[in-house]
Amino acid sequence: MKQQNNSSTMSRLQDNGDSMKQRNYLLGILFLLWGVVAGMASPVQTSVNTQVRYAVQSPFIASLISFTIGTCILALLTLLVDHRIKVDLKMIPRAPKWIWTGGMLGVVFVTSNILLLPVLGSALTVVSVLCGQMILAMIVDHFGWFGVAVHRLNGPRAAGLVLMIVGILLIQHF
Amino acid sequence: MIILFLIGGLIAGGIIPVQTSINSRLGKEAGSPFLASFISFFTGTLTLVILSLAIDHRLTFAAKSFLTHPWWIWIGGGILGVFYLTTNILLLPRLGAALTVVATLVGQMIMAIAIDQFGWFNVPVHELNIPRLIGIACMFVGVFLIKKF
Repeated sequence: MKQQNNSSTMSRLQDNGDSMKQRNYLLGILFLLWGVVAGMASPVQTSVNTQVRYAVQSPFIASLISFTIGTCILALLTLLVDHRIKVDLKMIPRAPKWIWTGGMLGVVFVTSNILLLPVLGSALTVVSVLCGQMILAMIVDHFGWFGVAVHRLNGPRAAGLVLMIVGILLIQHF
Repeated sequence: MIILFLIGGLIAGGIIPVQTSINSRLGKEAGSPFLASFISFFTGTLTLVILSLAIDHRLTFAAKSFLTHPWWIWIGGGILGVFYLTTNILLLPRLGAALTVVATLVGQMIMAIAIDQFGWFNVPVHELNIPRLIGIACMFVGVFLIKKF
């Protein structure tokens, strides 16, 4: 009797495990699709910002409009998720000064994309930006900058970089 | 000349991992990734006000461009930017860095190819051909090798 109870508990646990695994699998696919859709947003964003650039006749004012809208949405999002929007002023002198420069780098990124799209086209813009991203990510990994774990450059990584550059040249040439 | 623009693209891309590292530290100090994104966008907006004034000597533009252009271009860029950023923040801990990059990259390439192919958003038409397809395949293998090893 006890044995049977045990085994039925076991099989119920097994069932739970299976349905959990299935749920996690579906959730994983959902997250992947979400990532793909978000990726799609990126070249569309550059294209839309480029339209604004021509409308206002300035890449900087176009970026400014994009950032202003983004700031407003993030204010709402922060209130929604955190229920408050408050910076602890005590952290300002304590934290390193460079943590405030992320926004400026974002500006360079968005504005560069607006300037590049009409010249390079959408695919080449995405690909060259991506290649720069990988190169710098490998350098950051190799030297362990910003406190990331050191991950030295190796043969396959170097080969990957060469392939990316070949890819850029092919897309640019044809 | 096009080489200069390609180098510009490489530099713009190189900014991303630096910005991600900086913003994740900001997130730790501020205690919330959303607050960190907000601060990042806010300081970016201030930077652009200064840049626009310094380079264009203006912050305004012809009001009639609101009438001559579709309404969604004014809010589209900001919305899509926040969507992309927030998705990355939310997916990273669930999918891991490699899968997050690959998933968003697949989306980027599909959309970029479509934009070039059909000349959407007034982008000049660049039709997809076999060498371009091989180039894109090279990219994917390259990213895979770098992320895997």
